[in-house]
Amino acid sequence: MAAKNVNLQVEDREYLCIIGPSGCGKTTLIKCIAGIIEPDEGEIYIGDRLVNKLPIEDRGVGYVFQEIALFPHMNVYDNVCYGPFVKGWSISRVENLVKEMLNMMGLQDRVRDHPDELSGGAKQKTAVARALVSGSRLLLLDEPLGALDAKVRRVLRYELRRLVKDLGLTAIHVTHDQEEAMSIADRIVVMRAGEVVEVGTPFELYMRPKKLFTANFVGEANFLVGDLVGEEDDCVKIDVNGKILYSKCKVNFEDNRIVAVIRPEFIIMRKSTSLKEVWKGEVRGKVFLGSSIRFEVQMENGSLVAVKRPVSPETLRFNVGDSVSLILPREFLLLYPYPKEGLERAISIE
Amino acid sequence: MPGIRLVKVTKRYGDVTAIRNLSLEIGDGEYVCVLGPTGSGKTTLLKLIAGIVKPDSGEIYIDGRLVNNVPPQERNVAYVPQYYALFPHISVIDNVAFGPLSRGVSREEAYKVSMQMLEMTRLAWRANSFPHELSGGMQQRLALARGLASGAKILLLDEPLGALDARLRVELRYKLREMAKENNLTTIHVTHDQEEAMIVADRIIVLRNGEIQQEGPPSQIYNEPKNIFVAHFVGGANFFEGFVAETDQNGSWIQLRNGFVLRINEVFGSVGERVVVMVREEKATIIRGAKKREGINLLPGTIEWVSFLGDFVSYSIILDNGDRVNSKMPTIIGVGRFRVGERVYVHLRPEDLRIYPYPPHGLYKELEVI
Repeated sequence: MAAKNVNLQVEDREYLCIIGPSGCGKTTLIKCIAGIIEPDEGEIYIGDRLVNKLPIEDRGVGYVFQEIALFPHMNVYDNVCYGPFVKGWSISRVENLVKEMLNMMGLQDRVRDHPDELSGGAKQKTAVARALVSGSRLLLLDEPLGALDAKVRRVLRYELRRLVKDLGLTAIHVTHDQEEAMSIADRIVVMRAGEVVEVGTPFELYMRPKKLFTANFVGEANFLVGDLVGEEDDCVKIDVNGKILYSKCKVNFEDNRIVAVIRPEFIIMRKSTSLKEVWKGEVRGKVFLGSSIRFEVQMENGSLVAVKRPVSPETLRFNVGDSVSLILPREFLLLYPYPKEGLERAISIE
Repeated sequence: MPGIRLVKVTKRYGDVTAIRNLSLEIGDGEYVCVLGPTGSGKTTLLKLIAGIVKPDSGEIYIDGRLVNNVPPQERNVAYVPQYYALFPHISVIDNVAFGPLSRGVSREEAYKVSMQMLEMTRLAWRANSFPHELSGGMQQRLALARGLASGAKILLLDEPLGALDARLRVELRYKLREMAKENNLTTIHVTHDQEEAMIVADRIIVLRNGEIQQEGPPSQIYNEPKNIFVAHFVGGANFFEGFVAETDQNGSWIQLRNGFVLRINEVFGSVGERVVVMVREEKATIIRGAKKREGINLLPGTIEWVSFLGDFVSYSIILDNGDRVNSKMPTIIGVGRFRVGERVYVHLRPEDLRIYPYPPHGLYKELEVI
């Protein structure tokens, strides 16, 4: 089953991203909305219209394919003109709109070029211009930046969003790259194995993920398995393999077995300290990431924890083999019931 | 003795010069990343070392031996192409055993080694599956196991993580390096992803249009980029156009657009010379602008856009002189701190600024990635 009982509402002028691992159903979903494939069950509404039986060309959507799919024998100008031309628009109307679109995309100097003469980014912009010039208010983008270099992706994604917002369009942008989604989406839909796992703003999914899978798929997280052992000072007390930790999370779980989650950059690391709540460990790995450093720390109870700190004179001094003390702030330690299928299956992204 | 050495190697394809007079040395056991945009010549470089293509001029040495005329199968290298080229019609273990078997190793020995490699890549349990039955990540591990089974001491990886989902890439990049180091291999890993290169490499070689721009450990490439291309390609950077207004024995004053001035700690160029000043996004600090402030490198502006990136928050500021600055702050400090439309000051410490001559074809062209 490619998609299972999916309920989704997209707001007018929203920039929505759908993310998930390969095979999660995101492309199937977007193809259903476009009309490229028909759902077996359920209804799809665009605006107030039920569109299940409407052919693609009557749905008012612009679609950008993953493979870009420009006509190789036509130049940029003709590629972009194609849709409205085929629809029978007057030549002057087409010309004006196309010129405006090409200027907006910065392609005015490439109008006579053929696809094989264009860079990856220019091809992508042409594909977007082609989708937009049809006058659609809804833009469907299937991995629009997939074929491009990492650096080009990072630059072009902001241009995509700016364009959609400037034109007042609604966009549904499918991608496997959560960093891409985080940087430009108003809201993100997380999918897995045909189902919607969670929907939220980038901030919500990152700071307060409702599901373990989301915590692992969006950004990096440490997962610590333990047991609820009580309450203290309005905080929940947990035991992780002999180490006691505290969380401000409110819990109402059936079982005592839990998974505690904390992102690497929220952990505080010190050379050594006699503070009550510290957790002692030894640095096993150190990787320079540019503006931050990622450490791997082996804790005294056996847990292996990832810590990420911004580059600074203090953090640069930590080295492999150093003894350190970690503090896991209570407000950043999130708690979840231990999943029935086991932790590894629950968070696996394959 | 260095593992691999190229001396003034050039390779042309018709009118296009893919590799231009390139010399480099890779030490035995080193994990080197060749980093560059599409079309920079990285794959050609790998193919030259593998022996799949021959150089038009220059010499290639592997373990001290001149190999220009030595065919690929005799070079003791394992080449793993971008899309793996797995044999679809034979099983996982047969794919791995193929290399040793075709080199004349006994069946018993070939399958023993293959099983070892599969265990190392955690694929032993799928030994009898076929490649199309495996997930993307597993196929990547299979390609690697096949490369390792060849017994070669040099591993050439062409965008090894390119075919994988972003999230999987992040997970597997550490494993790649771990495996290479555990097996004492000399590895050349080609990629266009600078984040990946920073994490896995002992040394990074930045390539552009067939020429080496800079090589060195990740921290050096990041903190001391030799030119604008490297500064822009590796990490997020802000660039300001200006000219040298004044110099003294301790540094220079650079005049930017519309009268703004920056102090840098470098004595650079001559008065009137056109320059570009660079500062990393995380070194541009934002201070509240409610109170009027004055000071060196304190530039007034307005917050234009806020982007939540997870572990970082990115603020885009339009300065009063028209220049744009991106400031990156760790979430724990930066989230919710400033609002769109708010008046602020951007502070740039002189020691965090780097200066470059103004590029002959213009700054925009130099920064062009699209």
